[in-house]
Parts: sequence; structure tokens; C-alpha cells
Amino acid sequence: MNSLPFVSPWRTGTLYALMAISIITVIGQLIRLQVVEHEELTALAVENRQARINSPAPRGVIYDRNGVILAHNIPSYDVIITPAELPEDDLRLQEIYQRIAAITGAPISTPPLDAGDVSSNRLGENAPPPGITEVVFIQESIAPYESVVVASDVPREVALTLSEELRNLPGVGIQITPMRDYPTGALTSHVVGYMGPITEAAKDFYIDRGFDAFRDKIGYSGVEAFMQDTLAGQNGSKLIEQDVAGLELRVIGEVTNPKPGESIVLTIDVQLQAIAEGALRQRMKVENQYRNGQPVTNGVVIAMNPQTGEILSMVSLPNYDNQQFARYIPIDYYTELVNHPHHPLLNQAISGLHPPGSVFKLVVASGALQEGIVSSEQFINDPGEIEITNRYFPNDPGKTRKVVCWKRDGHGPVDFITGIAQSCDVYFYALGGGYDDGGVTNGGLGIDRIYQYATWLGYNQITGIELPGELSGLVPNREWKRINIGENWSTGDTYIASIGQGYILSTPLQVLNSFTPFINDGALIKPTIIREILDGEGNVIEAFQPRIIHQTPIKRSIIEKVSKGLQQVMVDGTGDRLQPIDGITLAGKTGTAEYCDNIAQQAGRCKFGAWPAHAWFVAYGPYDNPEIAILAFVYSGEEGATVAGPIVMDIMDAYFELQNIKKIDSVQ
Amino acid sequence: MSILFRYKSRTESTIGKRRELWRNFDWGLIVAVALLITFGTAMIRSSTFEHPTLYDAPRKQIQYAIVGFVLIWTLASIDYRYWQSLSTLLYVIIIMVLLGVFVVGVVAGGAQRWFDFFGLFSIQPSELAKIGSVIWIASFFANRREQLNKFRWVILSIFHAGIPAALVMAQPDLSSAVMIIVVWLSILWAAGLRPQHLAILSGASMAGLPAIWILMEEYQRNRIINFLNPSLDPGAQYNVRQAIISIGSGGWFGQGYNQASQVQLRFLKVRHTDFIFSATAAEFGLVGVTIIMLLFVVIAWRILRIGNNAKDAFGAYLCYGMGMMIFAQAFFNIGMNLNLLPVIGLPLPFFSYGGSALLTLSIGLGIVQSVALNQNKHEY
Repeated sequence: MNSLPFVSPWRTGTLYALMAISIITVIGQLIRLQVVEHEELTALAVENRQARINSPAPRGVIYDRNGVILAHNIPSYDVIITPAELPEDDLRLQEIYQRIAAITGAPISTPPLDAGDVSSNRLGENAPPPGITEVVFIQESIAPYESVVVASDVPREVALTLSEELRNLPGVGIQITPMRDYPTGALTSHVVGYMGPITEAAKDFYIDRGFDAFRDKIGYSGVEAFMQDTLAGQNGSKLIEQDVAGLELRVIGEVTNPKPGESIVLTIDVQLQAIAEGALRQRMKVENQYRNGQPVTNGVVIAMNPQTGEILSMVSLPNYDNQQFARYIPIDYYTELVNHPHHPLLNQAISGLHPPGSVFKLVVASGALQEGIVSSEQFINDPGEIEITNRYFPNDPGKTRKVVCWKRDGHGPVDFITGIAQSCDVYFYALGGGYDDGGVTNGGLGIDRIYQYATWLGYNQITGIELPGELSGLVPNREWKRINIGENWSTGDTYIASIGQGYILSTPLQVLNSFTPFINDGALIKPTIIREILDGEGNVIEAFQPRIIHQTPIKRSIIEKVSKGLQQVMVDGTGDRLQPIDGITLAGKTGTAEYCDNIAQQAGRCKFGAWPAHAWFVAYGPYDNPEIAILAFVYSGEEGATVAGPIVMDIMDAYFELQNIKKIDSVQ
Repeated sequence: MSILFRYKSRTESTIGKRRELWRNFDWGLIVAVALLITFGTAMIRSSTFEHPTLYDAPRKQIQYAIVGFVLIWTLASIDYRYWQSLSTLLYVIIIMVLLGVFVVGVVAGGAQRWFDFFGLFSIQPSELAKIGSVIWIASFFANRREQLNKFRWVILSIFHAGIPAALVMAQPDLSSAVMIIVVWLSILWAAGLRPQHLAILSGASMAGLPAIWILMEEYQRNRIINFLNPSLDPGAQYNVRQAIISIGSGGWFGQGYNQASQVQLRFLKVRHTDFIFSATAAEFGLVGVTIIMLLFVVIAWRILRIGNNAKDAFGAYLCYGMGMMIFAQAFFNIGMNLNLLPVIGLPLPFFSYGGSALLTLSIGLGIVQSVALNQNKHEY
């Protein structure tokens, strides 16, 4: 027998060497992981087991000035299932599913795909809702301890019925989540706005501020958007320890409770808002009965307290129903709104840009009087049409332009008050650009000073109202035309600007606000929509305080003269046919602004000498101590006095009637 | 037992000789194995603590261990040379069984790997094939010791070991097939494979790799692809990622028994079987796993040492095959825990939960102890 080992020692040695190499490799890797990378990997282990739970803060409520709720949170009832808590028994499970299906109408399982049927599109809005079985199955494989919604937004009665049966339905629960609700819907949609999910682009910004990007929504428009930070509050958070299935085991460290959002009281009076919208709609309806071609659908009404800047109502038509956006943004409805030619999603009161027309004459009137272009007693003859020589080519008759007054046979001799009252175009041409034959030989106010006074009256700048999307409009000057049109300023441009036409664009809110200096001794008031801010318990944190944008340097005597003219409009002027209100002296100004935008052009309405026109009317009263100023704007309304005027008067009438009722109520 | 005793008494002639025989029983090996099983059972308990379905695993593992020790002593008392004479029969039986799996195999875990014995207990035929391969490969080379310098026999041995290996791989059980190849290579080397033949074999296997690739199941290929390029399938890498985090979070001394968050909160998957090493690393740290590895070194050393003292070539090769298989299996398992090797689904010997593996290993150890009992010289 062989006494030597049957395996040569060197062969055994190589095997031991192989073992040594493998052990060294393993030890090396162990040292790398357990010593070198110990801290990073421990951090990852901690990250695994810890989770930050974000608890939502209730969003603030939006009220009107009288406490009517415009936006609040209502409970939305979802039926949820926690897969880990469901019974194991399949028969029991089917009983539970059947009960939920019977009471909520949610399908037990997803209907099978029918390949032959093209209409059974699985994608998009037409997709059949996923069945309870499938939803639970998927959730069980992802996070069995986390609940999943199997029927969302069920009616309250269904939720109550089901909650009584929960004892017999293990694993099933009712989840109550706050949903935004807009009781006044479309009536206040442009002011209140709506909400939507946090977009990918803004995600980091909101996550840094404690938002849950998947759960929380943010304001998309209106006060909901502008006052997002105030309304949202601060989400709470807690750090928990969880297992791999997401089961919360315990709370680690301190818990931050959510801080509820602050509530906002608006200056809006829903009652007046409804009256204003009704008046606008009614007038449009009447107007459309007499009209051929394009019906009038687009209009704005704003009512404000001209001494405080409080907006009492702000109507923009066409509008949209923000209640439809309460749970999610339905794509069909949204697309319809976006493709509408008059942009129902836009608040035309602050985002609509239109030539102001004759309401702009306030600028030229106050400027010309203050700068001594004319005296208030001076008469200028209006023959109906005048010829203006081009200032830069005085000897070239070919460059002479003929301009006409809206009253083709002329107003005859016109003084300052009559000029405003009759809205005499020739009178304002003379004031703005000079009229040698009429006695204005100093060349008029000129574009630079028109620009200056327009700016003082709030044109060419935003008012700073607490709503998103406000536009600043446009008042042209020489520099603007050189840069944007590439031409030098011409005398004709000055004339056309003098009557609020040409390049001038303004928002309805700017137009209304341009009247406030004549009511407040030259102070341009800052219009506001926010009256008060309340904390979670309803205590006033921020009370209302009227603010001014700036004090204009227009002299008191000038203001009085212009105001007289505005009063005269209602007595013996362009607004004298409007039904007066008993016991209330009003002042106002009409405007009929010719325009040609792409809508009119497509309809072939831009014909020379017969342009389509917007209707403007602003009135305020009582004259001695104005408490209300109302603007009506009707897109393509053709005539300020007859289309916009009655709207304003209807609302004015209702306003004073309401005030009387309130007075009687308070006496009693 | 009575038959065995009769055989012993006939060959060794006296009871006194038999007593002397048991003095060669390798207690060092048994102690190392017992320590591993004890440590392993403790870790199985920690890994399955309060688990809704696996809470019973430690108790079962202890039962398997008791049966395992009975098997060790039983097989130690059977002269290992019986197995050499039975090797051809065993070979045929196991091939039949592997083929039978396809017919009556119980589908478990997506693979036809379990063979149900009359509903009493189920065992993986591939586990039996592993232990069988040690016997028949050792027997093959022991019978042809003198001819091994001829390359012809090397080639023949490939077929001899390759047929069961291929059948096991077709089950599909890649890890067991790899183990059969390890056994074959170890014994081939121990039996005196010429270095130049080794070079030819290496060259040929390099060329043959594509063929193996084609034979592999889709999921096995994916495992290797995932190992080589983790970015391809982040989902499949989850287990390894969690294993690495678990090991790293253990540090020098671990987070303590039943304390590691990765294990207790179940972030680490298959933590009572394939990834039990990671669980141990998390709870006992570098020190704890070093002890495990030391125990494997002791086991391998004791088994090879028994092989060196073996009375005949068959006994020596049995030990080399068994020792290298245990060590390789431990290394492969630890390697995949450490992301050094692809995850091929291999338990840590004597440590991971699993009756089938533990019982087969016990059979192997019993045979090795039988070699020790019948060795040439006594130890004093």
C-alpha cells in the first residue's frame, strides 16, 4: 500500500493557495463595505427605515365682503382598501369586493380588452375604470400596508352607509380628504380662480416649502393663485420608522403640526356681482336681437368704491365654471375654454387690452387745462371736420390730413364743459394737437405731455390689484414708436391719441381707475380685492386700509372743472338719455372706441369709415361724495351711451336700492 | 445497523478494534460544523422573527440538524468503500431520478427542482446529485489513477461528470451544476491532472462558454447580465443593493443580535437563506462574519487533512471533492452577498435555512468521517 498521501503536497498547496486568495478577496471587500463605506451605507440603511410623513394644512377660506363663502374645503369621501388587512379567505374577499361594488358602483374587475372593438379605447378619458381586484392586487405588490383608493368621491350617504358596515369589512376604510369647493362657481370664477396640481417645473420650489408635490394643489388663477402663500398655510411633518412594506412602526423625534392657511375676505359683494353679471348678460341679449352677424359675447363690468379702491364686483364674460376644476382639470372642458376666441379663462377686466376711446379724453382735458393750452371759457368752433397740416411738412398740402368729429355736421362753438359733455372730437383734437383756425395756436398739449398725464392717471402701468395676469396696457410716445414701429412720431398720431385711439391700449380696470383722481383730490387710488385676512380661528390679522398709487399733480381747480364736465355728460351730453336715478347726481363718461383686431378682420368688418367699435361707459355717484363707480365695457358694442350706458345704470340703480334697504334694515 | 455491525466485526474481527477505530473520528470537524449550525440557526431566528409564515423556521432547522447528526454518525459507521462499489449503481439511479423530475417533479419556486417522497418530505434531486457526483467522480479517478497522464481519460471524465451536471442545469439549477463542476475540477486536480492539460482545458472552456450561454435559461442569463451590468435592471439589483447596505451598516461589531434595521424591518430579502451572510454581517459585523469564515477554513482544512491520511485514493478524492465543494459553496454564497459574484441562488452551507441542503451535507460529512475512521495511522 502506498504510504504517501494520495494527493501530492504541492497540489494540496495550490488548493490552499486558491482558498487563501478567495478569503483575502472576501476580507478585502468586507473591509471596504464595513469599514471604509460604513457610514455612507449606514446612512442608506437609515434612509430605508425612516420616512417623513407630510400632514396637509387646511387651506384658507375665501369669503365675500358680507361673509358669503366663495371657496372652501368640503370633505370628499373615498373608499379605501389596505391589502395587508384583508382576510386571507378568498370567499370572504369576494364578499367584501361585491359589497363595495354594489354600494359604490365601482367594478369588481377591469373588463377584458376587446380587441375587435375600436371604441373600447383603453387610454385617455374613455378608459374603463380599473376594477377593485386589480387595484388591490397592484397595491399589494407595491405597499401592502398603505391604503389604496378603490372608489373615489362617493356621495356622503354612500360613505355613511358603508362606514356603518366597516366592522364586517376588514381592510376597508373611508378616507376623508378635503376638496376645494366653489359654491358661487362661474359667478366669481375670475376673481376666486381655481387650483391645479404642482407642475414639474415648480416641484422643487414647493417641495422646499414643505409641500407634497403629489398630493397638494396650488392656485392656478385668481385669488387662489395670487394669495397662494397666505391661503396654503404650512404643512406639518413627522419622522417615522417604517418597515419594507411601509408600515409605520413608531414616530421618531418631534412632530410638527400643520399650520392652517389664513382665510381671505374679499371686497367683492356677491349680490352686486350677480346683479352686474345679470345686467351685462341682459344687455348683450337685447343687443344681439337687433344685430346681424357676430353676436356680442364679450364684456366687462367693474364696480368699485372710488374713495377706497374696494372692488365690489368684477365680471368678465365669457366666463368659466371653476367648480368643474375642483377635483381635477377635465381636459375636454379645459381645451374648449382655451380654444374659445374670447378666452373665457382670462379675466378681461385686468387682462383685456382695448383702445379706451373717449374715456381717455379725461387725460387730454385735465392736461390741456392745467398746461394752459385752453382756458375753460374759451370756445373752439367744431365744423364737423377739420384739416390738419403736418407739423413737419407745413408747406406740403399732400400731407395735410382731414379729421372728423363723430358728429359729422359739427357741434359748433364748444367750450371746455361742453367739449367733455358732448365728447367733441374736434375740441380734443385741438387740445391735443393744436388747431390754428380754432384758436389753439400753441400746438396743443402734444404727445409728450399726453403721455405724462396718461401715466399720472394710471395708464401704461398695472394697478397692482391682487390678481394674477394683470396687463399694463400701452400709451405711446415718440421713443416707443421709433423703437416698435420704426417711424417718427407724426402729428396725426397725436390727434388720434387725443381721442384715445391709435396705439393706445388699456384694461377696463385702468379706465375705471383713471376716474379716481377726480374723486379724491388728485389721488390715484389703488384698487384692491382683498378686504381682510383672517387667521385659522377667524381673527382679523390684516384689516382693510385704503391705499393710493400716487398723488397726481393736477390742481384742485382743474379737477373741479373736469368733474363738472363729467356731471354735464349725464345732464346735457352723451349720457343724457340714460334714465336718471331719483335723488342721486351722477357723473360719467361714454366711450366708443373703434378697433380692428384679428377677430373683426377675419369677419371682414374692418371697413374704412365704418370700423367696428367697443362700447365704454363709466359713471359714479353721488356726485358730491361718490361711493360707487361702475364701468361697463362691451366688446364690439358699437355705442358707449346706448350699449354700455344702460348696463351701468341698471347696476347703479340696484346698488342704491340695496343701500336703501340696508339703511332701513339698520334703522330697524 | 445490525448488518453494518456484522460487516465491521468480520473485517476488524474484534469489538476492541472498533472502539479504537472511533478514536479517529474527527471531532474538530464536527465541532466546527456544530458551531456553524448553531450560529446559523440563531441567525435564521433573527431573520424570521415574528414573520407570519416563516416564524417556525428555526425549530425546523434544529430538527433537520438533529436528523443531520444522526446521518453523520450513521454514514460514518458505514465503510466508505461500499460507496465505491455502489458508485455505478448510484450514478444510474441519480440520472434516472433527474430525468424523473421532469415527469413527476413538483413545481416549486418556478423550477422543477423538488422531488416529493410520498408526501413525507421533499428533497432536491440536484442536492443528491451533488453528493453523488463526489462519490462517482472520486471513484472514476481512483480507478484510473495511473492513466490520468493520458488526456483521453480527462476527456472521458468530462462526459462522466458532465451528463449529471447538464441534467441538473436543465432543471434548471445553475448553482448545483456549478458545484458538480467544482467537484470534478478539484478531484481532477488532486488526482494529478497535468498542468499542460489544465491549460488545454482552460483554453477549451473559454471557447466553450458561448455554448453554455445558449444552454442557460433566460433568467439565469439575466442574472449574469444583471451582475455584469447592474444599470440594466434596477429592480433585479434590489436584493444585492440591500445586501450591500446591510453588510455596510454592520461595521466592525454589528448592530447587535435581532437589532439590525435592514434585517428586522425586512429590507433585506431572502435573508434566512441566500442572504443570511448579509444578515449576519449586519448584526455581528466584520468580527462576526470573520468567525464564520474561520469555521469554513477549519472545516476545509480538517476534510483535506482526512483526505491526506486516507487509506486509499478513493477516500482521499472523496475528501478533496467534499472539502472543496463545501468551501466553494461558501465562497460563492459570500461572493454573491458581497456583489463579487453573480447571484446564482446558493445557500451558505450549514448556515442557511433549508433541510434538503443540510441533510445532503450531513451525508457528505458522514462519508468523510468514515474515511477518517478507516485512515492509515492513528492520531495521538
